[in-house]
Amino acid sequence: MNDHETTVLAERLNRLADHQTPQLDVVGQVRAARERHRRQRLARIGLVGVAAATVAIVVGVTTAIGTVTASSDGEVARPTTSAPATTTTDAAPTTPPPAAEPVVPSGEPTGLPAGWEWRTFQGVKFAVPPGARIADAVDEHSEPSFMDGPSFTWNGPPLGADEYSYVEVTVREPFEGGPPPRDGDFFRPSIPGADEANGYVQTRDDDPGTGRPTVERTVAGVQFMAGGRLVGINAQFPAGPAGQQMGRALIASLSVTSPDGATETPGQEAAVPAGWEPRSFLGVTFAVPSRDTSRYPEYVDEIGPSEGPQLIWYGADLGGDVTEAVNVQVGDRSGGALTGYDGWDPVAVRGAQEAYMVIDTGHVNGVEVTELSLTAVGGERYAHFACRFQVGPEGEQMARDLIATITVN
Amino acid sequence: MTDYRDAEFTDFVADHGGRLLSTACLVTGDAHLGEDLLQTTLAKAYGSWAKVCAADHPPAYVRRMMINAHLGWVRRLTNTERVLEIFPDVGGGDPQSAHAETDEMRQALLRLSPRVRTAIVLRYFEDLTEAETAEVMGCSRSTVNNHVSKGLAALRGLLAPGRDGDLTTASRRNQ
Repeated sequence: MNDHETTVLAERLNRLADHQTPQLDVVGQVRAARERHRRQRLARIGLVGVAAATVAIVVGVTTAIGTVTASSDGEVARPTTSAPATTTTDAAPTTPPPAAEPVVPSGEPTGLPAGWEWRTFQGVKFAVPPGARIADAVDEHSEPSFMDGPSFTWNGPPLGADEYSYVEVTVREPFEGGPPPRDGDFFRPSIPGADEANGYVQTRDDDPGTGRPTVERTVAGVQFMAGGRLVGINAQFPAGPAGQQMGRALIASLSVTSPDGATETPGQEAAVPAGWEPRSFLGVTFAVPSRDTSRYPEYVDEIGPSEGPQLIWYGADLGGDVTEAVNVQVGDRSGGALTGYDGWDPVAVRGAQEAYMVIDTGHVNGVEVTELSLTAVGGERYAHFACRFQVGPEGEQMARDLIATITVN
Repeated sequence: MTDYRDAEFTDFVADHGGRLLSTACLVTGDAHLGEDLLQTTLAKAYGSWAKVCAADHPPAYVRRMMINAHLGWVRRLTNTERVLEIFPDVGGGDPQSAHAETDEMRQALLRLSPRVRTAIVLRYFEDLTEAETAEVMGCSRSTVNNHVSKGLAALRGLLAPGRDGDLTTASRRNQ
């Protein structure tokens, strides 16, 4: 192509842009962006709770360490590597899909982080790390009030500058019937048996009482209602990723037990929701809604050597020749760059070291739909999910339900 | 803090939103899809505003976010791509119309695959170098070169079928 041609092409593209680009509504775009961000934020907060609760239920009691997590600014979840492994078998991609394989682990217990130990205090079960400096301190006799109450303290190793690791659980009377309101710096963990939970994992380098600078450290906290009581957990760990993970592991281990020791959550639930069907594709297991797929049967598309094959499933009609869809691409981690994380949120996916997702509303052929994008990395594999469901809360719930069924082996 | 972010963000949209919207309309081939793409991108940018501000060139960073979203999995999954395969034949519009040229150009662009179209728009509308285009699209320079070569070859045929084969036909027609 010569210079003249490229000049003309550029001119024609500019004329086309001038012709077809609508007037920019700055105020409208800003407002819409803000609103959309707000909705996504609410969706991801809800998603964290759902994912954590599902994992906790599936593996039995509260062994899903690392599924409820928070970033350093205490906002939302981050996945960890300690999600339970499952024993599914790779299935060759075929159409129709392979017979159902168990997507859900069979309830085998998974371990806490190495060396962690369980504690139970006043019906609250949680785990503490190894390396206690001195024995646990228990105060069962303080009269509960909204200021004080029975407490348990795990005394951990020193952090420097007269600061120590600790985990403290205090049971109080709620003030005016509920926990103090929290602002947006807190996330909402899902704690079996608890209500109105909120928590944080942050890095601090000052003394909250005096405001004076001190050693940098990770601070974690949760408060929730349980049986009319306000339970508060405060903890302090070393600074850095390891300490943050300890804070997240503590929060993920929490549950409220009945006097006989059983969790107060409902009984075992399958990770595959009712009315859904399991799928397995190149070591990635998940579930899709049960639909009549005779019109658009699912199929496998081999993209090329640099990108992994993808399984494409079409479900119910959403109008305008748009259907529900689940597109799963699985490939060698070295073969495809994991991009697109701007604006995506960390999410817990079983078997994945890292997973990010976004649930959004989009348009396909003029039809408004709920869109889910998720990328998970497990071992040497990555899995991309691109899915669409009906617009609105029901579709968003389907996206969350789907995420809760994913396991990357 | 939020007010400050909102003010900065609003300034950014006012300063750069128009250009981003033009690019969005060109790569999607549709004003409504372009607006939707821009809105998706701006929502992400708003949520990652600290990162955007920390970038060497915030508008380029947001443009990359936009192209990433455009080429992302969700949009590749959409039925829009299927519709393109049955787009009406070029030349169906009124040649006397003032819009004939832009219609022809738009329809020709829509016949290109999304990646090829994106490469063409970034190279010749955004005036990015091959390396910059590769950076934005997250692929190698040779891939960009390949896309652009394919796109230009296709555009020659689509914009001037049976004529002298260069891209000047429509321009001359309007002279």
